Amino acid sequence: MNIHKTVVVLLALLLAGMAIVPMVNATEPQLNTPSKMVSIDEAGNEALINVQDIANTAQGFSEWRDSEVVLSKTYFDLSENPAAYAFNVTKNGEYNGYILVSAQRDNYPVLECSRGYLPTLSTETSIRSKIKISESQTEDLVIKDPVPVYLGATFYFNAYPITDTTGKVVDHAYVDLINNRIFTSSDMKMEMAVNKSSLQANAAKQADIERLWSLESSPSAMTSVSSMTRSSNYIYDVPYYQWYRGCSPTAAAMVLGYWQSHGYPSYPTGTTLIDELANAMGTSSTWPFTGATFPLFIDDGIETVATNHGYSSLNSIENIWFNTDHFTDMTAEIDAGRPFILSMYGGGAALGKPDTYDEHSVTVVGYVGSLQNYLTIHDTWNSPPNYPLNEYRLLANMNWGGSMSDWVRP
Amino acid sequence: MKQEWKRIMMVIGTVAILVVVIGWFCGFVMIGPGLPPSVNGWYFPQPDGRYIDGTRVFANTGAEHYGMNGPVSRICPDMFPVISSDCIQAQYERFYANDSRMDSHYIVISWYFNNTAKFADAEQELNDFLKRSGTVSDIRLDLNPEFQRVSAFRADDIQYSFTSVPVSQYTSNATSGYFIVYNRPLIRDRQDYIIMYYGVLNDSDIRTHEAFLTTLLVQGGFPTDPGVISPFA
Repeated sequence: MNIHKTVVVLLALLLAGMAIVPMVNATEPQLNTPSKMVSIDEAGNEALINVQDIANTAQGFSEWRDSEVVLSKTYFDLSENPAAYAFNVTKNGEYNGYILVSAQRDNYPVLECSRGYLPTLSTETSIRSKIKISESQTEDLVIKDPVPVYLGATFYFNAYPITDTTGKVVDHAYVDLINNRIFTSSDMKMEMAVNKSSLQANAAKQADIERLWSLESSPSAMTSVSSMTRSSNYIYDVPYYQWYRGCSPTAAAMVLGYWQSHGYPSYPTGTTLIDELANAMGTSSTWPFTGATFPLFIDDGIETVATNHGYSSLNSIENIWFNTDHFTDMTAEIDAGRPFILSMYGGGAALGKPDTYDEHSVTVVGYVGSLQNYLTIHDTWNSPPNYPLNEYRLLANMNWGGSMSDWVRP
Repeated sequence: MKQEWKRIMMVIGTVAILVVVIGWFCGFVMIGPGLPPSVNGWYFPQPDGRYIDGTRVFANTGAEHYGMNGPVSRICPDMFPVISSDCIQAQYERFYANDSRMDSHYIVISWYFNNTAKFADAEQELNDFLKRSGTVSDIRLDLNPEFQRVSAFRADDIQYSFTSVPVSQYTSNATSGYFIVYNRPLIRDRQDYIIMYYGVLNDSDIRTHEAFLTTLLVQGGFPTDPGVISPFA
């Protein structure tokens, strides 16, 4: 590695640190001002508009066409402000999934959607939590009925208020509905301090959120959804590789695997290709960074592997994007028939999926320009019950804290 | 002497601070490993072919074929104790070359754990149950026949470095099959544990079904790193 590259690496480390520190330390947004609150009626309208949009956009959601939405539950944040409204999606009276709409205007209108069910308290956890909570309380304290709490994708809780003899709430106990864990109030503060990310840290994301709310709040939105022009493109034949050795080499292998079957037959495929890329881009195999890759080395690794197989003309170009929207650049790359690698910091969840990507590399194979712009990705995570294996996922544009892309131009 | 000692301590302190700072930076800046919270289901046989009466079947697997009967379910059958809240199962069936169904029904169950202690407790609980309810023995399952059978159909270039895997064979009237444990299959320093069960329903004659259960195991893929696969403790 030459001096220039070393300086670039150090500079990028510094910039990344500067970008990430505010995300971790940012103060909690003030969510309860009236102008930021979303009424149930407004949320219902949002739900209905987006159900139709998703039905026309996302793989596996076509049955949502002409569905209705019914409010099923309101979730709150830790300050007991409404955080999200859950609507059941029904068609001809039959349950067909749910959509979660933000109750605050400084978050994306649609937080989650799924053909499945919202997480609920299992009988086993319910019994366990009652025993644990009762063990920790004194005779003077009473446990009240739980309040549903939503703190972001996969963070679903039941909050049990604990009151004294006068009825005053003195504490809360929290049951994690996903992992069946039980938290005290102090546990929750620590947990949220670690996991909280500030949407306000990213100006471009805020602008995107404001655009979506204003777009969808117009009276004609429902009509325009059905007649709006959608732009989309999808590169077929990009192979799907499940995660192996690290997300960055796996994502890069899908791109080179595509070129292997499109005029560059010397590349290997599958785990052999991933191994070569992992070695070339220096993917760590030692604790505590096993499977992690410095994103600035991804393009170098790709070029090294290409050269090793006789394709020295391949050019891999890295783009570092912190707070800016580059959807147009990405669609241009897809329109040119070139899949690429997207590496995210603080990545959110794919449409209809519960797990957030956090620090993750994926292969971008297409896009959908709609009410919300989406990237069509191969995320390396597919497995039952998400089969078939080559199922793509839709990731909302800018649904990350920072990102970096690697074009691959043979 | 005191000055020398002070200088050494300053160097050690500086190095320690540098290690912490660099480690902190690396933790934030590096991308990956990029795994989901749970990897349950990563070793399920996944049908990818055509449909026969609503059953999605595997493509290119020979004259006889097989498929997944119904969707993968997160509700596991009560033939085994509840040892993990993260449990998925799917049922499979076989077809003759003329697409008519065979009588036997098969099941694959996967229990996932992200904690070593909980995994050990669960393994013990399941092992105790199996010994009470049927017959358990540790054997090595020969994969060679299945490798040879599917070699003509596989598109990947995986080279297996072994030809048999250690499993716990279980037989009872309700179900018979093989338990296999994957210990930290993806990253050695991440606590992922998976107990897989490949079995036939309502049949205690496991020898008759050994070949097909091996097929299910191989078709689902399995970790190939040394020391990852084990039978029950």
